[in-house]
Amino acid sequence: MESVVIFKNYVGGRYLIVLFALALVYLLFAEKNRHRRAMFVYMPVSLLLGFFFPVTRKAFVRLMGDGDTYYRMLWLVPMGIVIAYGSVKFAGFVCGKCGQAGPWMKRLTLVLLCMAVAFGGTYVYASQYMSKAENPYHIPQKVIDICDVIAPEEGEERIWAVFPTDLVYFVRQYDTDIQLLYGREMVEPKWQYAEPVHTVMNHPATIDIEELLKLTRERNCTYIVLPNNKGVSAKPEDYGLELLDTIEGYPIYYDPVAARLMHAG
Amino acid sequence: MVIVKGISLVFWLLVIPFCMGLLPVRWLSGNRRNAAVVFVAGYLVMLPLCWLVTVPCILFVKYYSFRTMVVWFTVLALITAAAGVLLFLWDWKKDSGRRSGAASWTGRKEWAGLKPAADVKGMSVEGKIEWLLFFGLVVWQLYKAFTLASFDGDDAEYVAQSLVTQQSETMYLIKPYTGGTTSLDIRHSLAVLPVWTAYIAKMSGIHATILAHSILPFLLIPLTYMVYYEIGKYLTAKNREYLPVFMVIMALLQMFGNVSIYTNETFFLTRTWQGKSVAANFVVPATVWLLLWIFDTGDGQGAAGRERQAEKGSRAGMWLLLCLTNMTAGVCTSMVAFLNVVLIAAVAFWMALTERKFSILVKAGFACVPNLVYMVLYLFLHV
Repeated sequence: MESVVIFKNYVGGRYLIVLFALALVYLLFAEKNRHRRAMFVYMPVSLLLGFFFPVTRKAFVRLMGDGDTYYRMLWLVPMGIVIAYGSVKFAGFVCGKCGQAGPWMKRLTLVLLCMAVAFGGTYVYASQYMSKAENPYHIPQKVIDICDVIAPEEGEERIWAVFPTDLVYFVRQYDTDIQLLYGREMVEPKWQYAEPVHTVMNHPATIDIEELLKLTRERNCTYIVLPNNKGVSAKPEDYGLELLDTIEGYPIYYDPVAARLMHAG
Repeated sequence: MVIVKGISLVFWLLVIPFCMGLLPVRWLSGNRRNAAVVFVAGYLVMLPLCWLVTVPCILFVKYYSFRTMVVWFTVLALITAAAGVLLFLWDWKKDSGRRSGAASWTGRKEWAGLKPAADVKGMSVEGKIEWLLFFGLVVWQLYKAFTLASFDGDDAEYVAQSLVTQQSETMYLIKPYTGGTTSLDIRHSLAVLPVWTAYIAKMSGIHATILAHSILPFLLIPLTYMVYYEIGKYLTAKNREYLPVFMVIMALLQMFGNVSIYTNETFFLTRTWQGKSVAANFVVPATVWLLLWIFDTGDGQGAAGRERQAEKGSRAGMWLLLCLTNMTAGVCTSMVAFLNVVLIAAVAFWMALTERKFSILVKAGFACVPNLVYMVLYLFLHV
């Protein structure tokens, strides 16, 4: 049953899979070349059957140690090539059957098939994960601006910093001289990683500054970037932090106490 | 400075792979060879070579392993590319000699390595319009790849890994997510595509993140279409007029294949630079392409069948390319190094039944030896 759910999630409830099934059935009957029939009908069908066979999934999990990526088995099924090949073959069949009107019927068939692909699928550039690139790095400009404020100069030691959850993905794609107390693997809920600093920073409403500084100073963290949408339990300046800048609502603090502790210890 | 970086990119991403590709296509018959095949073959040489240099450096060089990798890979890449060019010139000269004087020359060694992939002359107006449509779709995809940013959490590991390698000159000893030091990251260290990205970044002086997000799509998207082009060309050998439509449908499928976040089409246009995407959209189609070349005899009918009958001697080249494709799978991701065996086994099984030849399974098994070595190494390092 799990394989069925994975398959449903993969095909996303759209009609492209129907187009693939139709192409498969058409090629089963129309493809006279037995090698191509084996390649584009029998092989995909056997891979699909193998995908749904429970033992295959168990073997996959055993070998890969991870069931979440079982959907990648479906990458082996050449769905796109089968659809495209089935389509042009079907258009050729229509052309041959329609006599003088054949060329026009072929064109009409191909246009309809192209439309079926477009309407049966989902336009990738309309995805919620796509946004206008703000720079050639393709990471948010605010991350670059914040990193430029805190990054060490050439030849200086690397620094430790804390960033809000929504920014941690990008920081080290821009500058690896900035080290993070917690990274992506600790903020993804699915990995259930309990990191104490992240627990404080991830509080839904208020960040406990005293608790945060206790933890960050233990780990020589000299820069703290607070979220732009949460409150704080106390004024950070009261605990010795220096506000360097505020970029798009994210306050950037330097902690001289942590720096002193680091150099002393 | 920008010009120097641009020239360097052209050299390492286009010239060197093309010259390397001249090497394995020597063993293909003339009608198989064209510029696109050479270029694709070049990447099937360059990436495994990168693996062969990088993995020993990761395992045996303690400090600044990336520096050592850069030196060795540069030397070997230049030697391989030079060997490709020299052998190409040697073949060319030899064939020219045969052609000028000998009636016995069969054309088997005819050099078509620099032949354009497509013949524009003799193409109908309709065909030209369809090609224009296809190229329009590809240009649109490239434009979108440059102007849109796609959010993907894996980049925090994948792209940061390249940047860490470029900036720290070590490999897989620093956690990409945080920057903390770690013991050797075995799980990822055999899939060395991030190191290849770091290498190109280092040689061109471009930030690895800019390279991955803004430049590599201009290489990897056309590279995939070259493979689809070769598949389409073979499948439409009897009705070449259908080739541009085949390509248009393939391009549309990439753009509208985002039916979920899991499809290879989604990976193709949203995570183009990641090893998983290269595996799903370059390695797997290239495997299908080569298996088609190897096994599809056309049942002795049509142009494809006749051509194949005339070029039995070039099989070695196809099997060699298949081996290289399997090695490339391991460069991209360890999972596809395993999955590609499943694909080849499935095709070989049906072909063995179709042809009633058990030897097909044996040959396919030999082609998968690189994957076996990879898996043994993977398990050995994990224990």
